[in-house]
This record gives sequence, structure tokens and C-alpha cells, in this order.
Amino acid sequence: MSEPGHALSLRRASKRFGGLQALNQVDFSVDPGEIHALLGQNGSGKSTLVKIVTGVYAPDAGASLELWGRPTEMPVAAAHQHGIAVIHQDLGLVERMTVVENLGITSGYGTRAFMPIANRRERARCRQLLAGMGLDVPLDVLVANLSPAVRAGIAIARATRLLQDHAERFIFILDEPTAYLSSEASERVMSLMRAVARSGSAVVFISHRLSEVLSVADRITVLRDGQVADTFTSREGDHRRIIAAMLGRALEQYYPDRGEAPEAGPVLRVRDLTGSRLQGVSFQASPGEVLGFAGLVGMGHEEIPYILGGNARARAGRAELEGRDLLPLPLSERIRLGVVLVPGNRQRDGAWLAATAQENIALPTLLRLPMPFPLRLSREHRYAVSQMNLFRVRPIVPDRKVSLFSGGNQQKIVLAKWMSATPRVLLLDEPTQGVDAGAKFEVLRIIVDAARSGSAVLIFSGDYEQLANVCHRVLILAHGRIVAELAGSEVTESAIVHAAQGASG
Amino acid sequence: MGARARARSPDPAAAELTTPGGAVPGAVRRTATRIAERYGLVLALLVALAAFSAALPDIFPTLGNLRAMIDSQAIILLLAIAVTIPLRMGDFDLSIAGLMTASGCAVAQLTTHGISLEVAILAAVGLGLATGLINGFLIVKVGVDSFVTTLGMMTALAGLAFAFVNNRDVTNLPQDLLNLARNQILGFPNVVWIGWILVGVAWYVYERTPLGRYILFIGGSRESARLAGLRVDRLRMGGFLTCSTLCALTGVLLAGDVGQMDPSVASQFLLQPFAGVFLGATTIAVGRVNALGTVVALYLLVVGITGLQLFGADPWVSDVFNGVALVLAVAFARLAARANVSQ
Repeated sequence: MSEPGHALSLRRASKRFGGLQALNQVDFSVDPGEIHALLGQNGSGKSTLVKIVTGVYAPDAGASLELWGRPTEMPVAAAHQHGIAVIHQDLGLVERMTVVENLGITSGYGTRAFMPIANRRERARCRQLLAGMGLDVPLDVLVANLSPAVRAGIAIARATRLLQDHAERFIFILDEPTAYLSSEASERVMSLMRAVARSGSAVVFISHRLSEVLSVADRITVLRDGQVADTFTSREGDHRRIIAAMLGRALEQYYPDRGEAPEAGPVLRVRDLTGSRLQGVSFQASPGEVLGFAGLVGMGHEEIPYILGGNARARAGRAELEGRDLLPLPLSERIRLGVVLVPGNRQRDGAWLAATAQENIALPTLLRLPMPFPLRLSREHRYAVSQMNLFRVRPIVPDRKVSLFSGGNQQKIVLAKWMSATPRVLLLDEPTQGVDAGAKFEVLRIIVDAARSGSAVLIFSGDYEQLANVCHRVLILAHGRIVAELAGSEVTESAIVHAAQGASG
Repeated sequence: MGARARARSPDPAAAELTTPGGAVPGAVRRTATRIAERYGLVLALLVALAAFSAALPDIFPTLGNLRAMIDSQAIILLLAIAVTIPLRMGDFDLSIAGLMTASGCAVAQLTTHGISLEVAILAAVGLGLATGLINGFLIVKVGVDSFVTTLGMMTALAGLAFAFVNNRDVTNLPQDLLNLARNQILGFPNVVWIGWILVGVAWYVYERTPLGRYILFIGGSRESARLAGLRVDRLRMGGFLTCSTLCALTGVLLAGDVGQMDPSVASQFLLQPFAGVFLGATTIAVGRVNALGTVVALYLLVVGITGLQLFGADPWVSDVFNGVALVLAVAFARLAARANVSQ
């Protein structure tokens, strides 16, 4: 039935792929000026729902869609002409082009293919769009040189421009825009979103970060197994309710028990480490310790795991593993000594998604074999199965491509790949990025277990809540230096935020 | 893959990400699809052989014709296997045909001017190593795009070939050079056997050794290979050196096989190895450049072309056939990759 209040109202949407019911009788609506969070584990039907709204898929018979009170045929043709824009996680900006070039690319630079671009008018238009988002960015810098939060703003501004050419009222769908951002950067994206909603647009927001969902969204809809598991205003809900709806059961524990801080002397001593942003950082890490690193983006802490792991160069300093300086050693030698780096960008650095789980998991172990001798494939298979068991990868099918596993399972494969023996030093860059709530606990437990069995674990993350809950000690960096150290009961989310923001202002 | 893939996943999230389909019938269908995908090209080769044999019973299915088809692909097979090395690591090497021609011309010129065959072969190896070093240095160390670099090297080497022989065809090559390529074992000349042995070695290295895995990961995900501790730059360099050396040696065999050396042949050998490799990547190890697939693809191409020519098609058919096959192969590979990743 028509409820004129809604910007978007989808009713009884179902979608079946072969034997799989991806979406089952889902009702979903967004009001003008509302931020509506769409949550669910990987595979719960979120992306199918978005693809139905944007016309990528036609729903099965029986569904109806109204946009701004007007019935609309499905599949939706040319979503942008209906004022619907999707901004994906990767934003779709061209890094090697300038802001002004990026802002015009989807709308033909305000002209036709062979007509000249009216530069002055074009620049005025772009300035106006950016001002509308509250962004103060020079028009001629390359997007590659901008911070992630500003890039997200530019992507939204660009979508706004395209919509303005076709419609008066807008619906934005933001698909995990903050997944790869630090807390501060995602805070900026949140305020951009609020500004967009205040101007009367409807915003659909997909995220795995529950705190930010609760702080920004007006309403929350949780999907599970293709159905609406729960829908409520954010005032009525909390973490517990969201997670219960996502998993279909209450989670007793969000974070694994980190155990007592160890007494043993340090295994890793870093002195005066200097890199492209780091300016003389010194710290020590003990076996069994979980040591967190936090800081605003660009403050230097992001460099540490790559310098210690051997993928970036230090300008000066020492990093001694039991008295031996790691910095002059090649990456392969550091791995042999038990220094393990689990990179943050899973898609690019952590694994080759088109190869099988077994091939990825076995890769580091091959380094111990002489190159021309045959692989022992059945042994490799057994090894992969045992690692997948140990790291609770599901399903345990070693010859399945990594890309076909869910995000949480992909991350477990990455951990299973690198942690073939108990590492001496485990360096983790954003270990739970893109991992859903159910799998997050398991990934963190693997990490905490590594510490219990004697690894020194260093976590580098913008997720302060997580750092506060799993670390024995947290170091906060600003402008390349350590500005605060929190230990024991001082390690709380608010203390980390306070220290990071206070020191960087 | 096989039977293990039939195990039902307990995790509905993971199930959604597999190919759509029900429990057991779906799994059987998936397995069937996978087998069809893996051996489709082999089947196409058998069908083509059977169809032409049925249509042209007197001239197609004869020992002579089969031998002629295999012989005609011998040199191309050698180049194709050589170029799988950089291609598997994600690098192009277009200089293969130019290098082979330059090397063949050098050997022809040297051996007809009183230099012993052994020394001439050493000179060819030197030319190969030099080319590999230049390619590798520019692409791996300096970071120039491999397509552009080797396109330039191909043209330069094809030109050098003319310089080596003073713009003339070299004839009356010495008997030991001819014997090297033409001596027969079990009815096939050496040049064919060397190609098959190379296929076996490449298969073994690619599918069964750590080195093959390294090469594969460097092509698939260079950063993750580097972080795993692989010496990525050194291995890529080694890949270019090996490929170039093999192509230079192929030049020696080309001179012996043909019995004379024409400096203008480079362009005839450029496209077919790539058509074979890319079409071959759609079979056996689907989506990956592989040795057995390359052989199957090359033989499928020659059977198709020979069959059409025996039907009376003009010689230009072979270029059209190879060109179209290359484009289709790359398009199929892309579609297969997309079907594997999405849904």
C-alpha cells in the first residue's frame, strides 16, 4: 500500500538463485532525512537487496517498489534517474586524476562528448558541491594525495552531482564506506552522512562497525538468511540486540579473555625507529603480550608492522629480536626467525583470492623446500586441512578458491597461512577489517591464543574498542612519536580516543 | 576439486557464495560443469579430428597428414612453452619471435662462415641471455611496462636479424646443424621431441614443484608473494632469462629444421604461440597459463586450419583462424574468471 511518507518502500521482495533463497519476503523502507542502517552477516542478503533496489537484479514475482510514493517498475531501469546512487566501499575514484576531473567524470563534465568543457563553470560547480559537503579541498590535487575520509566525501559529492542532473530527491546507498577507515576518518564520513540526511535525502548505510551504526543511524534493519530478523530505531536497540538478530542467538562474549599480562622479559626491543613518518620510536614487547598501537591516520603507527616485517625500509634505528637486529635482514630471513606480518589489505597482500585455500596456506611452508624438488601434495593437503581445522575455517574444503569463502573465513585463511608455527613476533595490521560479528570473536581468539602460547603480538588498528578489549598495553602515536602509553586498567576505549585526539590536534 | 566439493557446508553464509544449486543434484551438476570446463578443449580437439576424418577420409586421417601437422607446430610449441614462463608470472614477452629469428640468422651466418656448430650455439645462448637481461632489467628493475619493452625489443631484434645475414637468405647450412633438428626417433624429428620433453619439464615444474607455485603466485598476487618471503624480482628476472635462452635455442633448431634462414620470418611466429598459450589457459588448469593446455590448444588450432585448408580454403584462413582464436580465448578466460568469482 502506498505510504507517502517513504522515500523508498520495497515490499515482499524475494530472490531465488537456483536452490538458494537469497531473499525471502523482505519489506524495507527508508524515509526522507533518515539514515537507515542495513546490517547482517556476509551472505545474509544485504547485497542482493541493494542490487534489487538499484536494478541489477529483478526480484521474483510478487514484489513491489515505491519511490517517493510512486509505484516503480522492477527491474529498476537507470537507478540514477530515479535519484538512487550507490557508493561502494572502493568509492570508484580515479586516483591518478584530480578532484575536479573526478567530480565531472560520471556526468560528462557538464557538456557533451565533443563539446568543449566550460572550465570556469565546471570549477564553480565543483566548489559548490564540495562546499555543500563541508569539504575544503583544492580542486587540482590528485585524489591519490587525499585522506580516505575526504575521498569518501568526494565520492558522495560526485554521486550528488549525477543525481542533481536527473532528479530532485535523492536516495544514497553507502556500502561499507568506512570499512577501511580509522575511527576518526569514519567519524568524518558519519558527519557527512548526517549532513546529507539533513538536506532531506534518504540514506541507506551498510557497515560491520556496530558502534558507529548505533551512533549515526536513525533506524536499523538486520537481515539473516534472506529475511528481516529485526528492525528497530537505534534508540530502542544496542549491540546485544543487533548481534542477537545477526547471529540468531545471543553472543555471551564479544571479546576473548586476554589473560594476565606476562611477566617475562622482552623478546623484541625497538629503539629509535625512524621511517618516512616515524620519528624515533622505542618500545619493547614480551612473549605472551598483546600490544596495541593506535593513532590518527598518517601519524606513523601504520608504518611499524611493515618496517618490522621487512616490507618497508627504516631510515634509522634498531629492532632487536633476542639481541639480533632485524632491520638489515631480508624479509625471508625474518620469517625464518619467526617474525610474521599479517598485512591489512587482504585482497591485495594477504592472499591470492583466485588460488585455492590449500595453495595459499601452503605457500610460506614451501620456502623450507628446495625449489626443484617435487611438492608433497598429499602432505600439503593434510597440512591445509589441519590448519583450517585449527583456525576454524568453514567449510574445510582446501581446494576451494579463497574468493568463495566469506570475509571472516578469508581472514582465518590468511591467519592460517602465516601462522604455521607459533610466531615469535606476530604483527597484525587491522586484523578484523571486513570480518563480521560472529567471525570476529574467533579471529581475535586465535590472536589471543597465539599470545598465550608465547608470541609477542602487536596489533595496529583504528578500531579502538577492539584494542581496548584485547590488548594488555596500548601505545598511542602522534606525528611519528609515541605520545601516550596505557597499561592494565587504563586501557579503555575512551582513554585511547582521548589520547589520540588530544595529542594530534 | 572432485568429490570433496560435494561435502555440504554447514555454514549458510558460505553456501550462498558457491554456485547456485541444491544439495546433491546441484553438486553433481557443478562437478559435471567443472569437468566440461577442464576438458572442453580436449574434447573439441577429438571432435575436430573425428569430424575432419569423417569428412575427408582419404586425405585427413593419414599418418602423413598427422605427422605434417605435428611437425608444423614444433617450433611454435617451443616458443609457446618458453613464453609461458613470463606469462605465468604476469609479464608479457613479445620479443620471442624476433629473438628466435635473430638467433637463427646468427647461427646460420656463423656456421656457413667456418665457425663450428658448438661455438655458434654458444653465441646464440649469449644473444638469448643478453636479451633476457635487457628485458629483465628494464621491466623488473626499472619498472617499465613489459608489453611496451618487449614490443620494442621484438622490433629491434627482427631488424638485427637482417643485419646478421646482410639482408640475404642463408642457404647451404652445414649438415650437423640440419641433423640437430631433423634426426628422427620413432618417426618424429628431434625438434618435435625436444618440444614434447620441454612440455613435460614445464608441466612438472609448474604443477609439482615449489618453484612452479612461486611463479604462479607472482603472477596472481605479486604483493602477497613478496610478503610470503619470495624473492619476487629475482624470480621474474630468472623467468625472462630462461624464456629468452629457450627462444634463442629455438632459433638454432629453426635454422636446422627449415634448412635455410630467411631473416623475415619473425612476424609469422609472433601470434601463434600467444594464441596457443591463452587458449590453453582455458583448459586443464582452468584460468592458469599451463603447459598441457598449451599443447592441446596448439594442436586444436592446427587441426582446424589444416582441415579447412584441405577443404580448399585459401592460406589466409590460418591468420584469421589464429587471430580469432586468440581473441576468443582471452574473452572466454575472462568470462570463466568472472563466473568463478561472482555468486
